[in-house]
Amino acid sequence: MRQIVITISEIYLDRLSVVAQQLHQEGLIITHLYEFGVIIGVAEDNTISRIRNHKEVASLVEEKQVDIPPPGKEIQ
Amino acid sequence: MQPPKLGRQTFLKDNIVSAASLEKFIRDIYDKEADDNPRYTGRYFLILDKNSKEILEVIHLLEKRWKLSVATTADFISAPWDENKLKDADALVFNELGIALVGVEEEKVEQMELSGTGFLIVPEKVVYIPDELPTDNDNSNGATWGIRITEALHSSYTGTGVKVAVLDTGFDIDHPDFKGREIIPMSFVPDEAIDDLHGHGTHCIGIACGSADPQGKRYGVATHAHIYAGKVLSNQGSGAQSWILNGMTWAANNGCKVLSMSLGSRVSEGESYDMAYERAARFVLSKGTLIVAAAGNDSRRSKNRFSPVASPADCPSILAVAAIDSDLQVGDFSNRAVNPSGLVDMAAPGVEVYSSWPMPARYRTISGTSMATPHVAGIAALLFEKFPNATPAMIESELRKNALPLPLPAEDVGIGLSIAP
Repeated sequence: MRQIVITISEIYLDRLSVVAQQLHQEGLIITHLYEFGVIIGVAEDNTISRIRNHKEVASLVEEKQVDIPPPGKEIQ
Repeated sequence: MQPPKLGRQTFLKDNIVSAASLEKFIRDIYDKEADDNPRYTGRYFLILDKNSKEILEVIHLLEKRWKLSVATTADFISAPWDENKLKDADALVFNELGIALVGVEEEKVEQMELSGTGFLIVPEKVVYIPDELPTDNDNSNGATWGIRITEALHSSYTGTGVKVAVLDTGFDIDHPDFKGREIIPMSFVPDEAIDDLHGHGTHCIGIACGSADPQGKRYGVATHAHIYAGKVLSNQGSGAQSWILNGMTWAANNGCKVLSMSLGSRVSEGESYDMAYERAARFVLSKGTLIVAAAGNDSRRSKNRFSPVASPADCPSILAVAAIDSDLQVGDFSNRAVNPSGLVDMAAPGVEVYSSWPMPARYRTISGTSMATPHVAGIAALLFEKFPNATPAMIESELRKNALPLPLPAEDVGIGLSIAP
C-alpha cells in the first residue's frame, strides 16, 4: 500500500465526486478529497498502475513529506 | 543542610576588616561587572575517585570522622524528591553516583579537603536558564536589520484588520510579546496541539506579525495583523502533504489575505512543480489569498552548489522568496531558479534574523529562506491594509513595483529586495 496524491484534470472538476467514487470502486482508499480536484489516498501497486491511466487523472504521485531542520540548526 | 545560595551575592564578614577584604571587595566589583549572579551555591560536592572507596565507607567517614548528619538518596525511593526534607542533614549522599553533596561551613570543608584522600571536593555550581533576553548580533537599537532594510520600520501601515496565516510548527500562544493579539490557532497534525515545541513556527510568526521585544527592538513587520497559526509540521519538524493542503484550505476559507509557508521539499534539477500544490494554490488565490513560500536552503554557494527552488515555492501560483544578508548578498544556502517553472520572485532578509522563540528562550537569531518568507508575508499584509479591496494579483504587482532592484542575478533574487509601502 502506498500513500498517493491524485490531481484530477480541470475539465472533470465538475464531476469530482463521480470520479472519486469510481477510483474508490477500483480499490483506492480515499483519506482526503479537496474541492480543487486533489484526492489523497492509499492503494496497492496494481491499483495505482490501473488508475494512473484514467483520462480524468492529470497527475498521480506518492505523497511527499515536508521536513524542516531540527530546532538546534542555525539554518532553517 | 544549608539551602543553596541562588541569584544574590552575599557580603562576607571580612569585607571591612583587612586589606585582604578590600582586595576581595575590588575583585567582587569586577566580578559583578561580568555577571551579577553567583556562580556557586556555597555547597560542595565530594566526588569519590573511581574504585577507591565504597559509598558506605564515605557515609561512615562523613558521620563518624566529620560528625555530619547524612541523608541518602535511598531515603527518597518511595517518596518524591523534596530538598526541604534535607534541612536537618549536613550531607546528602547520591548512592548510585558515588557523590555526596555537603552543606557545611567553609572551614569544615577545608578541613575535609586536607584530611582525606581518594576524593575531590568541588563547589556546587548554580545553574541558570539562558538569559530571558539573549544578546543579538544585530546591535542596532529600535529594530532588526530586516525591519529597517525593508523600510517596515517607517511604514504607516501595521496590517490592522488583515488576517495572516502562517503554516508551520505551531505557535507559543502564551508568548508575552503577543499578549492581547488576536490569534486563531489550528493544528492539522494528528495528536499534537498548537503548541510549538520546535520553535520554527513561533520565529516565523514573529517576523510576519510580531512587534518588539521589551527593549523596544522591533522584529515583526505587520504588528497589528490578525494571526492565523496553522500547525502543519509536527514538533519534530515534518509534515504530510495532506496536512499542508488542509492548512491551505483552512486559511483560504477563513478569509486570510496572506498565507506564508516557510516549508518545502527538495526538488531535483529538471523536476516540474507539484500539480496538487499548484491546484491548491490556485484555489487559495481564487479566495483572495496571496501565497508566499520559502525558496529553500539546499544550496551551498560557497561550494559551488546551486539547488533549484523547492516545492511548493516552485509552483507558478506561489511567490518564492530567497534570502539575503545585511550586506545585500545572497545567503549561501538560498536556492536558485534552476528549473524553468521554479523561479525566484523576490528576496528578503534571511541571514541572522532575530525573532520570537517559544518560552523560556523568548528570542533567537537564525538564518534561512524560512526567515525571509515571513518578511514578505508581513509586507503583503501592509499592502492589503493599504488596498483593502485588492486581489492577490494586484498585491503581487505592488510587491514587484515597490521592490528594490539588487545588482544580483534575477535567478537568485528575482525582482529584488521586498520593500514595505
